[in-house]
Amino acid sequence: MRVRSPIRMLKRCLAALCAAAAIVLLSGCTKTADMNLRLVVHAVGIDVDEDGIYTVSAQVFSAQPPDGGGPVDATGNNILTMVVYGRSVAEAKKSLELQTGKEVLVGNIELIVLGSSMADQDISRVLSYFWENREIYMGVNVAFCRGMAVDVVSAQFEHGTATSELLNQMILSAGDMGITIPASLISISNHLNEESSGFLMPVFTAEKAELPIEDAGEGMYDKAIGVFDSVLVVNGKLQEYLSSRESVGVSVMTKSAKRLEWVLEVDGERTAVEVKIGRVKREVSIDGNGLPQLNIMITGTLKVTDNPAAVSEEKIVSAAQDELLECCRAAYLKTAVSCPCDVLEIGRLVRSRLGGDYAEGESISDIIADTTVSVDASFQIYDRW
Amino acid sequence: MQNSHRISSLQLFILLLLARVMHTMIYYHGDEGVGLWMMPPVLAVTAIEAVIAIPVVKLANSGESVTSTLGSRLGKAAAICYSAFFIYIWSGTLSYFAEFMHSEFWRVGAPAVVILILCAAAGYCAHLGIEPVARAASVVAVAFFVLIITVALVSEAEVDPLNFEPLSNSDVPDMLKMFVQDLSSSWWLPMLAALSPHLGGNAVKTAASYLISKLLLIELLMFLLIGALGDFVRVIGYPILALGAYARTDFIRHFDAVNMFVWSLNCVIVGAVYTFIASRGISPKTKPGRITSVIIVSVVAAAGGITSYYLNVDYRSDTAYIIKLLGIVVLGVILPAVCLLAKRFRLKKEESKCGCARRYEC
Repeated sequence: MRVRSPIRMLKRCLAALCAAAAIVLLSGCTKTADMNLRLVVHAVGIDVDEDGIYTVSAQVFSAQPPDGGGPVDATGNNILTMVVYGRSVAEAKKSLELQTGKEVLVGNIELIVLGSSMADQDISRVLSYFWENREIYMGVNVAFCRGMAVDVVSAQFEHGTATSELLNQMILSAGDMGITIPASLISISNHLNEESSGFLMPVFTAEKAELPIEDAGEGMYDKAIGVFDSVLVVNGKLQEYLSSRESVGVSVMTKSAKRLEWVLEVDGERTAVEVKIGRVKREVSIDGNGLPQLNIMITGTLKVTDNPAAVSEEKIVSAAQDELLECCRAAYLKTAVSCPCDVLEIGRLVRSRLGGDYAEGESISDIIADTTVSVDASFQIYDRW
Repeated sequence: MQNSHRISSLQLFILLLLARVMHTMIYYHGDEGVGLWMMPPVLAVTAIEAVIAIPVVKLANSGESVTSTLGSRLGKAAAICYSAFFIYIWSGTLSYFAEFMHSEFWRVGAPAVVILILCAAAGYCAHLGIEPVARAASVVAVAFFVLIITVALVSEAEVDPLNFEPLSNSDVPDMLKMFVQDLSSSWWLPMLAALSPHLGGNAVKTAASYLISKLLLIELLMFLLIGALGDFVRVIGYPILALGAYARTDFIRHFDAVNMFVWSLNCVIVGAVYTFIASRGISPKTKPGRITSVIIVSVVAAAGGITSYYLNVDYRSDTAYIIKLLGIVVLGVILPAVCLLAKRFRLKKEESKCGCARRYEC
């Protein structure tokens, strides 16, 4: 009688598992292509003209071996910007493939920039291509820009094109400082599905430096690229640009900002401070009139970075607290009063915490109108971080 | 050391859990969106399962099986029913897994080829026997565990507490649908009934471990779907994969390939168990994993899977839920209960015969 060892059976079983998994998964590798015949897209800029034709600028990695040989990396001349046109993003991608003869890989997209010409468009019509493409990472950042998206995507720094990683880092840094709130594909999709949807999006600026041509030296980069402000998007359309106070207020009240830097006027003297937001507590309750009340308590630590006139710390702290409250007031007036939308999450907070009548029946805009919002901020001086 | 065709309680628990996880992965598409309404039905179904599992657990612990207790003709009929049910389940799994692969990884081979390869691998593993399959399942379970931990550590997902809106009356239809869906995925009961002859441990341990683990795992998955993905599940197609894909590191930008490798392993393991059970149904008296019955089951399941895929047979339709629920209730609850009653009746009869014989002897 043949004796079959369980260990041998186990090994055979595992071998069969791995073989099946490998055959199934590696069957996609039957098609090989030289790296020179592939375009890996890192960032996409989208503009639209009056006729609805999209201008899609793709920041691509195109492997060009350096003179004299050596490794190929995603810097310098290996990053190019290609501009194509189409009636949709999908058509533009096809156009890129036809024009270059290369296979376009979109699974590495890190950033999507929408030009100011998209201001009158519902952004979901453009982003639907990216949502439905399973190759694209759902956490990809999306931003608007002042002017043409192609200027941001093709921006040249002293060492080459501003790669998507750098551009993304600008968004993240601005988000930490309360200038904006990063918007990803997934967060935009969820916001647009909400009632009275409203959210912030970062705005890139590519501004030409005001230099006379003859003063511009060789290799001098004459544009400033950065994320300096935010735009308010309501029901999928760009509503208006926010001031820096409004952006900071929204960022703080929605627990997005981590640190703020201000130059404050205290007793007529300028004092620079840095504030670390510690905790933002949002409590919902019912007031005496049976209406919802939202109390936001902000605590943090404050560091005086420049105090040339030796203003007292108590006055500085008080000024910083007042400034933050002003930011919150400006954010509330802009988002909850002027163009009512739930950017500050007032409606969602009330529904989530109170339930009952506010879980169904009441619309978000009615809840926002009924809710009283109060903000309290307190900072402590801290020298060493 | 021979292949004993016996598995421990822990190994059976792992097989049941992997099958349940596989089902959630390929059948749940997030069509109704997400909300807190998803969580209570899972708890309710688990409580119901705990009660209706009593007959099959008692039968498994008694050392009997459905087919042996029912006798020759009825046992054979029951075995064929088990075969048919698990061929149906395996065909559905193949079809949906092929669709899953095609939509998420369209560069892999044709769906028919995927189905044939998985069937062949599962058939071979089933032929090796349930013990090697159970041991291999332990390895796959560890791989899953490592994957989950790794993805959790590098996940970029943030849970938004505001996605958890309180329950309301308008959520009741969705809760009922979720309840039916979860109950119709309880084919661990017929699996336990079919594998009980091979169980070398305590079935109570297996059932209890499975119910607790399944409840915790599914509720955790629901919690993460609601909190991290929100309504994006309607767009993403396969929310469980999306949860795993919402992670990246500097050197692994896309976890999809790693995810898919582990899911493919799981599919083969789960298929091997279904094939083993179905092949036992066709030839219950022969040596477990006999090649002819395995080939027959694999061919039929592959044909069923390919046909289902290309004809877009919906295994989440009302008809499919009815078939699955019938299979679960009849094969996982009624038949074990009948066997238990039959066994008790037989024992009483034997006791009364012994009693008469002793009186006669006296």
